Amino acid sequence: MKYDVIIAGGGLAGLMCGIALQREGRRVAIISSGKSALHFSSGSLELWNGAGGSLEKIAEEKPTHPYAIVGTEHLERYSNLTKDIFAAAGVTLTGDYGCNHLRLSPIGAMRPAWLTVNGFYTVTNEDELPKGKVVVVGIEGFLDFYPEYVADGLRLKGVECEVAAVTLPALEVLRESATEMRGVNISRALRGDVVEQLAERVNAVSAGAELVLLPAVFGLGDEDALERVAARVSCQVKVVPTASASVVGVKMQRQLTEYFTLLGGTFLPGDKVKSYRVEQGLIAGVCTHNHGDVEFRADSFVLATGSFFGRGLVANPDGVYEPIFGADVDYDADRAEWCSKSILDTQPFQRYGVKVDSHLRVSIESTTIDNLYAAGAVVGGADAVKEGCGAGVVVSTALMVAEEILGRTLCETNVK
Amino acid sequence: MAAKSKKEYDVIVIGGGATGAGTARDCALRGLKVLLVERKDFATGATGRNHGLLHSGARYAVTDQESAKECISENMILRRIARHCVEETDGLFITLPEDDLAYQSLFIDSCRKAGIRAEAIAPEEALRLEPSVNPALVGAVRVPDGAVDPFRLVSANVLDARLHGAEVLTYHEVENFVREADRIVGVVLRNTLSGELLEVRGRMTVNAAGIWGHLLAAKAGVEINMFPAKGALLVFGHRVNNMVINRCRKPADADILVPGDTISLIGTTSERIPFDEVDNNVVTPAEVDVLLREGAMLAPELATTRILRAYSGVRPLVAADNDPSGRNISRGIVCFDHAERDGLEGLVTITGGKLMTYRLMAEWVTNLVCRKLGVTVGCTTAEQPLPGSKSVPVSEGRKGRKEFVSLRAGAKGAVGRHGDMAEEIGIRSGKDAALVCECEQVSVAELRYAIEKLDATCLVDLRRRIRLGMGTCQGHLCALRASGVLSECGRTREQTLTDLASFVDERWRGVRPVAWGDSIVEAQFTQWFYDGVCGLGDIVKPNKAQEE
Repeated sequence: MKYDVIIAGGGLAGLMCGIALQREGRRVAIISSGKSALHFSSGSLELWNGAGGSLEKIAEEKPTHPYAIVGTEHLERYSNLTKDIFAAAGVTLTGDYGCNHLRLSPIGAMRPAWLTVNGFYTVTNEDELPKGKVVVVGIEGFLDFYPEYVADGLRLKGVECEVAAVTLPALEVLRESATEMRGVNISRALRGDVVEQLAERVNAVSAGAELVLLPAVFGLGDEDALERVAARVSCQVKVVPTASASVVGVKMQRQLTEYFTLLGGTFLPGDKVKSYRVEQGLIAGVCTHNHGDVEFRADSFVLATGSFFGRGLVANPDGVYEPIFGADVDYDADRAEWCSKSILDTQPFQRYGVKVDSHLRVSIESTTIDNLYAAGAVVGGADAVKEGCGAGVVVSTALMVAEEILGRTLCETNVK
Repeated sequence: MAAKSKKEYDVIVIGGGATGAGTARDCALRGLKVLLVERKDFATGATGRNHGLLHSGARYAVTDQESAKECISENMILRRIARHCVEETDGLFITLPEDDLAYQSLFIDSCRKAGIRAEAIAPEEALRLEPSVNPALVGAVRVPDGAVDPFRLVSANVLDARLHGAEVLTYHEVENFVREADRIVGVVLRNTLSGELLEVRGRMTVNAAGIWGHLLAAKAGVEINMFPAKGALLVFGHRVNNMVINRCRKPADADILVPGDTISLIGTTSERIPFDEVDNNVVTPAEVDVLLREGAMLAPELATTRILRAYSGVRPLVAADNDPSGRNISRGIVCFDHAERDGLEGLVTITGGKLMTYRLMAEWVTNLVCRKLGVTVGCTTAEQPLPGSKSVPVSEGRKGRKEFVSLRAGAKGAVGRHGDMAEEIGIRSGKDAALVCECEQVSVAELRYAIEKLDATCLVDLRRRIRLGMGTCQGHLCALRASGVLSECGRTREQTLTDLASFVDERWRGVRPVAWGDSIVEAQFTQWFYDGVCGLGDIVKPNKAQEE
C-alpha cells in the first residue's frame, strides 16, 4: 500500500500533522497503538509557563529545545492553525498566543494555560475571579473529583465558596460495581432526560450562586450535555478537570480522529510498526503487527509516538532507546542521573527524546535519514511539566513537520 | 517543661515494630498497664523492610542450629495465631549446576536435627510444583517456608494490645529518659507532628527500638554495641512464584525469592553502614544489579518482569559484649537487664533476632519485666490467636466459598487483609463500597476503618494498614482519591495536600532506583498529573514533601 506520508503514532502530534497534510491533499496513513496522552488531558493546552526562562531567548539559552528548532517566530502562526484545526474538528478552544490565562486544577490551584476547551473555568487574571458566591458541585461517590479541594483553593483567593454533592437514579446504577463510578462512565450515563434531571439537582443546591463548577464529565453520552445543563441552571456553569481518565480528552481524541478520517486519511487503530525497510538511505516502507507482510510505503515517514508514556521511548537498565527505528536518543548515559530526589522536582528523564536536525529529521546511528521526521513528545530537549510546554511542543513540531514535507508554509487562509 | 499530668504505667514499650507491638500485647495480656510508643508509624523500621518470609529455619540450619530451632517453632505458632497474616506456600531450596550438590545432604541432615521437615525432591517434581523455578536446577529440597505480612502482623498485635487495655502513641519520639538516682522512671516524649512535649512515668521501660535502640540506650547512659547492616530488596510487579525459592548453599546475597499477596520479592544484600545513614539509606544501582542478576538465577522470568520498586531496611545486629569489634556478630535474640549489666534499674532492652522470632522476643522480655515487677502470670501469646485469626474467615469456607465469591471487590480485599476482623468494616452503602485503590481493592469503608480503628493518621500510614498504593500504579490513581476521603476527617487543605505530596514522594523513593520500563512510564505520568495538571508543586514545595 502506497501513501504520501505514513505517521507512526495517533495522538495529538500524529493527528495534527496528519490533518494538516491531508488538508493539503496529501494521502496520509496513521498507525496508532491507542495509547494517547490526550486521554488524560486537563482540557487545556500549555505553550510556555515562563518557569523555563524567556521564550524569546530560547535559541541562545536552550539551543536543543524544540522551540529553538521550530523558531519562536512561527509559534503564533502555529497557535492560530491549532485553533483552526480544532474548530474544524468540532472543538472550540479559547485563549490566544502571547497571553496565558489561568485555569483551575483538580486540587484548586490556578495554573497557566494557553488554549482551553470551551466550558472549562478560566480567567485572564485573578482579578477576574467571581465577586459573588461559587458553588462547587460534586457527584456523590465519584472519588476522582473532590469539590472541597477546588472550593478551598478558591477561598484562599478570597472567593466565597460552598460545596454540594448531587446524585441521580441513573448514576446510582453505576455504583452496583465498585469500579464503575468513574468519569467516563458517568459521562455516558449523562444522556437524554438525565441531563435535565441533573440540571434540576444542581439548581436545587446552587441558589444565589454566581457560578456553579462541576466536574468535567460531560459529552460522551450526549455531545451537548454541558450546554444543556448550562441552559437549565440559573447561573453560569463551568467545569473543572478531574483525576484519572479525562472525558474531554477522550472526546478530543475522538473528534480529531474523526476529522482526520473525514478528510480522507487512513487511521489504523490498535496497530504498531514492527519493522522497516531502508532503500538508498531512505525509509522505503514499514510493516505492522496487524497487517503481516503487507508493506506500507510512502515518500515521507513521521515518528509521532510520544515519550515514555506513549511508548515512543523505552528505558531499560542499560539505556533509553527509540523502539521502532532505533533512532538516536539524547539521554544521560549514567542511570543514576535519570531521576532526581522528589517527584515534584525537575526530572532529567522528562527531557529525553530523539535527536533531530534543523528540519526535525531524525538520525539512525548518527546518519540523518532525509525522509524520517519526528514530531511531538518523542522529540528530546523539552520538559513538558516544568516548562509547561507539552502541547505547544507537540503542535508546533507536528505542524512544522507538515510544512517540511510540503516544502512550504501552511497558511491560515487555507483553512476550510 | 510544663508537663500536664504525668500518666503512670507499669511498662512503657518503645518501638512500634513487631517486637515492640508483640511486647505490648504480651504485657497487656498479662494484666500490665502498657503504653506503646513509636516515633513514626508502626512497622516503619526493619519490620516493614524485609522479605516477609515465614522462615522455616532451614536457611540457618547448617550455620546456626539455635536460630533454626527458634524459627521452626515460631513458624508453627504463627500459622495458628496469625493465620490471616500468613500464607502457607512451602519453600524450595534449589541446587543449580554451579552449586555443590553435596551440600544438599548436609542441609537436609541439619534441618532434620533442628526439627524442620525437609524432603529432597526430583528437579522435575520441583518444576511441576513451582513452574517459575530455574529449569537448570539439579536438585531441590522442600521445606515449610511461607510468607508473612509484617504490616498486618504488627497491626493485629497492636489491636490486641489495645483490646487488653494498652495505650498507643505513634509519632512520639523519646526526647529523654526521666531518671531518679540509678533508676529510669519514665520518658519525656516529643510529639513529632506538633512538637509538644509529654512526660510519662513507667515502672519499667522496654527498649524495643531495633537499630535505633543503640541511640536510645545511649540516652539512658548505657552502651549497646550495635552494627547497622543494610539489606536491599526489589518488589516485582506481579506474583511470579507461588513457593518461596532459596539457593541450597551457604547463605549469600539475593538468594531468597518470596511471594507476597500480588507480588514477589527478591533479597537481600548485606552491607554495614554508619549510623548516620540509618534514617536515610538509598538502594544503589550496584545493589539493584546484584539483586536482578541473582534473582534471575532462582526464577529466570524475573529478568523480564516489571520491577515495582526497591527498598532497604537496617538489621539491628548486636555484637557480643566481650567483642566490641563486632567480628563475632549474632543474629540471635539479645535481651539485656540493664540493672544487672549496667547497674541501671527500670530499663530492659530486647533486640537482635528477626521478624520470625518477634513473639519469642516479646515473651522473653515480658518474662523479665514480670519478674522485676513481681508478676507471676504466664505467657499465653503462643496459644491465643490474634484479632483477625480468631475464626476461620469467610474465604476459607466457614460460610462457604459461595458467599466469598459474591462479596464486592473491596470486601474481598478486606477479608484478605483483616481476616475475621473484616466484619468490623461494614460496607453499608454503595458509597462505602466505592474503590479508592483499584490495584489492591481498597474501599472507602476500609479506609475509614483504618483511620478510626487502626491508628492510621495519613496516607503513608494507610499504605501499611491496607496496602493503599502498593499495587502496579504505585499510588498514582488512589492517592488523590484517598486524600479526598481523608480530608473529610477534619484536616486543613494544606495538611492534606502536604500529606498527598509526601505519599507520592514516598512511592517515588522506591521507584527511583528502578525507574525504567513500565516504572518510568508510570513516573512520567505521575509527575505530569500531580505537578502539571494539579499544580501540587505550586502548593507544596518538594523539600517539604521530602521530610517524612
